[in-house]
Amino acid sequence: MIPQREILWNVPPSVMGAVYVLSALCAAWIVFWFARRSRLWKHGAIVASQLNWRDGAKRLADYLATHRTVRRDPYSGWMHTLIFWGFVILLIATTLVGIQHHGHIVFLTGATYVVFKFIANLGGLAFCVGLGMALWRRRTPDSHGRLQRSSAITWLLWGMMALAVGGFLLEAARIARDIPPFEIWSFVGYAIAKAMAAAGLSGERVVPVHRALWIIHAAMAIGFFIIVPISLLKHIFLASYSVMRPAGRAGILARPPEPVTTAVDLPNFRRVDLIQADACLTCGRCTEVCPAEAAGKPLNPRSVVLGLREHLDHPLIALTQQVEDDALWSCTSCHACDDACPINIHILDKITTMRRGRVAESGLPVSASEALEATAQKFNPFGKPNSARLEWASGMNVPVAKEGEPVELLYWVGCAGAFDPAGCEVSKAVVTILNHLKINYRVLGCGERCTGDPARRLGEEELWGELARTNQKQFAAHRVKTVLTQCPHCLNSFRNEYPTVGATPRVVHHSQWLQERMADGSLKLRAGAEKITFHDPCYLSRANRETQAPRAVLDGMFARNRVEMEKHGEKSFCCGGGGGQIWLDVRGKTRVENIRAGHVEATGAQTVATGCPFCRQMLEAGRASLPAGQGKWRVKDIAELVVENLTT
Amino acid sequence: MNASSKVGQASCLSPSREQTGGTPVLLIRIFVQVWCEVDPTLNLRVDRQTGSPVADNGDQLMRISPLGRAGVTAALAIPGSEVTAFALGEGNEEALRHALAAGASHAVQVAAASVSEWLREQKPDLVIADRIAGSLAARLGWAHLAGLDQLQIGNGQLRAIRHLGRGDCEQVTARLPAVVRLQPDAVRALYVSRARISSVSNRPIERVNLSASAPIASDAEFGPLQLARPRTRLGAAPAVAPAKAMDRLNALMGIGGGAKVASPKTPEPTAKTPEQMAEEFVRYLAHHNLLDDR
Repeated sequence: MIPQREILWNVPPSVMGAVYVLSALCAAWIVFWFARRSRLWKHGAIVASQLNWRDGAKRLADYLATHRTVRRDPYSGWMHTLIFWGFVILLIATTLVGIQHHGHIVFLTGATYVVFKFIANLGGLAFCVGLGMALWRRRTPDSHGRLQRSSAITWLLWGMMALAVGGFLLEAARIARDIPPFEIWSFVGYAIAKAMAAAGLSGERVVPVHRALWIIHAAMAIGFFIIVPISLLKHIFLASYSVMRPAGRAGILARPPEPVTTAVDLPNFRRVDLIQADACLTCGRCTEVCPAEAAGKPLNPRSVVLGLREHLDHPLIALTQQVEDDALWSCTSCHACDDACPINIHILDKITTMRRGRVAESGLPVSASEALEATAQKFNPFGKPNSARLEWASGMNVPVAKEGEPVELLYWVGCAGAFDPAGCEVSKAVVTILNHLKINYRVLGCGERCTGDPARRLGEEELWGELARTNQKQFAAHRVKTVLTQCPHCLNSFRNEYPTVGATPRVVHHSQWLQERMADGSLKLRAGAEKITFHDPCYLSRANRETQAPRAVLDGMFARNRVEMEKHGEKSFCCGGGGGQIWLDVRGKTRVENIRAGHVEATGAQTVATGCPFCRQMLEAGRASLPAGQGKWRVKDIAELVVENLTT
Repeated sequence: MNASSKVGQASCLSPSREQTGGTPVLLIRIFVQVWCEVDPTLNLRVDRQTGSPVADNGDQLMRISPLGRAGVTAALAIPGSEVTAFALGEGNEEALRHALAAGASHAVQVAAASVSEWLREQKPDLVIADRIAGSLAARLGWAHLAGLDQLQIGNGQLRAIRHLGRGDCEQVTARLPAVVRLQPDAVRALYVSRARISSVSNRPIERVNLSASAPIASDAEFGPLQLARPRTRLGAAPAVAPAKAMDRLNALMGIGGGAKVASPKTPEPTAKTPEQMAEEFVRYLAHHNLLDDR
């Protein structure tokens, strides 16, 4: 007996005809839905080089093959991998059957048929196991974890499970008629067929059962296609589009298509932002890693995306009602959500776009407006006269660049380094190191202005643009080769954001520069005995992928005594000061810095080092809030630790 | 702009009203003075040659006055208001643009000497001004209140909170039109985004110059003052009095005509001599511990 089967056996032509008609209607419905929805997406602005299809296809292929971002959570990774590949195998199997039937080419025969059936059964089984894993996570309200509780999704999963099981039952009924031995390779269907035969369902008795199962299975498959665009299943198309887009780099905000002068609405978003709002899987990974959410603040990144989706669904309800102000102003712009999203949704871009609208409407918190006011008037968000930028350096030998003087190495002090008392200590430490190493450097003094990072994160894009252009003129006037800065926010602005406005010199973080000096042997440090941990600033680790340089510098002093916090490196937890939060105070159950101070406390370290003046300030605040008896550690910038351990 | 031309819509608290789709919409016409000033928070020096202030290198000498911006904010917060920003003389374009960006309907640069005449022609319901408020009120014969916050307008009356110092405040009402001065720092100015400011860069700034004579604050502008029914919180000056130093003091203190205080209760107005009023004023200051015994 040649292993093969009669395709569409036992299916009446009228039923088959109905299935074809309904399938065509399904396809039309899906096209109609997406066409209608795309009219809403078209409200969004097209951004130049939004999608390069060839690169996008490569990204999508890589994503689907590796499931890299999904697998960051192993359970979800396995679950989705099983469902995805199971579905793909079943889809290919069905397509091959269709090609053989309608193309009148018989290739599913003999050994090919056996292999085909084996793989198809494997795929179906993987699909069922994956769905089972998905359902297991939704078995009780508590078991949902970060997942959004949704009976619609649970029912969808059960429906898909029924479809898959129905397919196996259908196969089993076909096999049960005469149980050919080669069908043992259809191992799932064969086992069920044996059970059916044992129950008396075999031979001609199984024929009407098979026909009924076929009709039910076809109806369910059509139902499945009907709900694709109106359920989570639409992510099959939309998430693919989102993944095809360049992931971007954390730390780079998208520029608004047009200056925002009124309340934000759909045209202020990029088209991809609107598509991504529909693509959201509601998996909650963004919410899980959000420091503001952890502190009990009103921000839930998933709700921001879903709020935008709701606004697409109900455009008459203002966006400000879908996403409340307190949520917007709770964001620390740490990029953890963007980094965690398995389908590349740029949540921070959406938050910043909404913030721009609130700034345009003057609807920002008072403290934030004061910071912006100060930045506009005095060129620093601390509200101090810009002429006082070098007060911290009084009594120190700090060379200021003369007008037009070429500068090889520019030490960019930054606003926190110039005006915040803790930041000033870091600046002094950096200057001490520079002088110790007899480096030829210059500072700009009162020629320096805020990079505009806080303004941009708060939603004041135009002010950022003004400051960027002014600072770039300064760089050009001094023909600056390298900028050295201790502030990751300044670093991020210069390295990632200023190039969108104009040419910017090479910029290094002081930890990178110190590592280079240690490597070339010019910087020699004593060994320290403290137990130390390092807090990764978000804009150094996540935004600029620099986690090794500061550790290398610390290891030069405390190699054997360095311990890591629970969340470190690119998965670091925000200090709570980013995104203009240092000037904001949206209340939550606790403060982000308090949570981070708890992480430090748990390491038992005597010192927490960091590489950002804002982090230093926030960690100090968090330390002060710890219960009595705790917080007996100190907060230091790596530059300060280097100064403590300089060899003469 | 012609001397007799008017800015925006006619006043509607007064008889006129605008019809929009058959529904009468009351427009409250509020004129707010805005200006640029030397930023007092900077380290300033005076140029010996020119006598003009100089800021340290890296600082911006001039700023848009926060009090003027607060005036625009307060005016915009009044429901049904149509706000016109005006500035006296040259050099205040930035402040006028800022006011337009904040939401003012019109911006007018008025020659200093013409301001009271121009305001009289415009028939505003309320004028929010700076130090010239008392003088303007005196010149126009309108009510004058100073140190105000939380402005509300209804039934042809202005209702506000007046700050008395040391945290004390009282509720005051005044007939409109009135000229008021806000309490510095009581009203927080709105932040106006750069994009908004850029978006009004092409909006016209009207210019008014009725005559090019003396500067606004000089006696030449105001001549003999005519105070309309000045009434203090603890008493009142004569209904119409010739210009005297005490009247000018009253005007500057914000005890202009028509002002009424809800709490503490206002005693019946009695005619008192300026000397008696001065004594009462000193007692008032002593009562509130505002006198320095040294």
